[in-house]
Amino acid sequence: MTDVDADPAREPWYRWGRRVLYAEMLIAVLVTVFSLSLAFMGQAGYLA
Amino acid sequence: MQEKTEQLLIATVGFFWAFLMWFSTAAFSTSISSAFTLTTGGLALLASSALWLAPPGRVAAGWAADRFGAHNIFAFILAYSGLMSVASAFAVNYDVLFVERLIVASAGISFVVGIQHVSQWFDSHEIGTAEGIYAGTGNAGAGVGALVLPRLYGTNFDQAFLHLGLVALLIAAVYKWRGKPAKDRATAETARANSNLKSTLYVWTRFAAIGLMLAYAMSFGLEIAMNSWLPTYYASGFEDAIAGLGFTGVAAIQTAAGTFAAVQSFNASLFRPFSGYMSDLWQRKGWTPYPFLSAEQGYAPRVHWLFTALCLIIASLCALSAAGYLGVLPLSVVILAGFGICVSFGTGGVFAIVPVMFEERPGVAAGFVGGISTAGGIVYPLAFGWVPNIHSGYALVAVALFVPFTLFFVWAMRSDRGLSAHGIGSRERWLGSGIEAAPGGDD
Repeated sequence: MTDVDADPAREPWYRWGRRVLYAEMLIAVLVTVFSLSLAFMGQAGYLA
Repeated sequence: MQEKTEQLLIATVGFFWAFLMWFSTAAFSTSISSAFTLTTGGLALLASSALWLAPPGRVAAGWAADRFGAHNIFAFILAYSGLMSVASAFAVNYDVLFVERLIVASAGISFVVGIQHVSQWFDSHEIGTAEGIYAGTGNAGAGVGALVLPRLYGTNFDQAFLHLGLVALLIAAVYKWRGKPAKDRATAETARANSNLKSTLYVWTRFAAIGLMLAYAMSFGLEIAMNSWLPTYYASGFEDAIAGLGFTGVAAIQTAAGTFAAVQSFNASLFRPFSGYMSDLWQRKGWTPYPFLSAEQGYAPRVHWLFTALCLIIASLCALSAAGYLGVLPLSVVILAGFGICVSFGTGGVFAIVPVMFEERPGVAAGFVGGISTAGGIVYPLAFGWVPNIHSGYALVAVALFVPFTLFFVWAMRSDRGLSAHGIGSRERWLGSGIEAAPGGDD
């Protein structure tokens, strides 16, 4: 049995929750890009 | 604001702060070492001590959340750890500081309390997303602490500990004031009635619960192990590559290595809500692609999603070893980002199942799955450091530990007999024959 008919997207909290979810993934991607830029180019003066 | 949204917000803020306090000692380890002239061994002891109380503490906290209500237990944990954090700001010698910080680090046991709290408010079709937002945002406290605290306070760890403790006391008061244990009295009473020894032994003897515990050891256990291991790995394993980028001197190399390591921490934490969302999606769509896993259970699609995550974790660990052997730093960082996402799929996937599988005893189950698995954070770094070549540790752990863990998981989840019958001793053996099954769950 699966709850196929349930649609949590209709609830107000779920819309809010999905925005948080996307925002958090964006932050993770930004941190990754920042670290990658260091790994490729190096910015010792900026970091240290 | 919906009442359950408020409860999710309170739990998330509380757990974020608890996680921040849990790893705040590590953020100032260099300053503490300098202030108290610690040896390398002493520093390692301080770092590992953060995990000591998690396995037994989480088991007890999960049971207590069922018994006394999550809002009471979470407020209690924040209050005593906050008070101890304030006291540690005035420690006059290292022995006192060590004991006080050990107690502060026990704030990490609050994880299972929040899991129980959220599970008492959200329905099964949305539980993955709700638990993911709670746990993922909270987990990010470790990464935020590592990046922000040293920059905000410099070497003044005593000021940081004072402020962290005072804010924890404030959050504890709000948690106690606004927190409610469950969406209705019946739900809270069911959890309370099942918080006994026989109920606990019933959970501990279910093969599916053991499989989930091993899956969490493969994901969250590995995540916290990597938090402590990766800075050392990059500083040692890619020393020449980092020096080639212009990072010279101990401080600069450590900072660069820490920044690369943060990729894992942030991805593993912040993709966790997405994993919960995916678990909900697989459940809604009824996806069960693997013929060797049961498709009969009500939560079967969530199990199939989690198995996908476990395979990805093993593959990405082996890829991390391969990138290390090749000696290509950017490739290693890219794979590390993917690895962090795979780990988040595992952590989010596990706790999208636990509250659904154990509807009647969510705290006890969360304590078992989330507590014992934390021991991985202590064991894996030992294996990583034991092998002669620093790059081969990941593949070794993947093959020697994670493949058997996954095979056990498959064996536990392939049974169509259901949770009650598939374990050491039957449901009747542990609980008697008079207890009705919870609606919608196998428990």
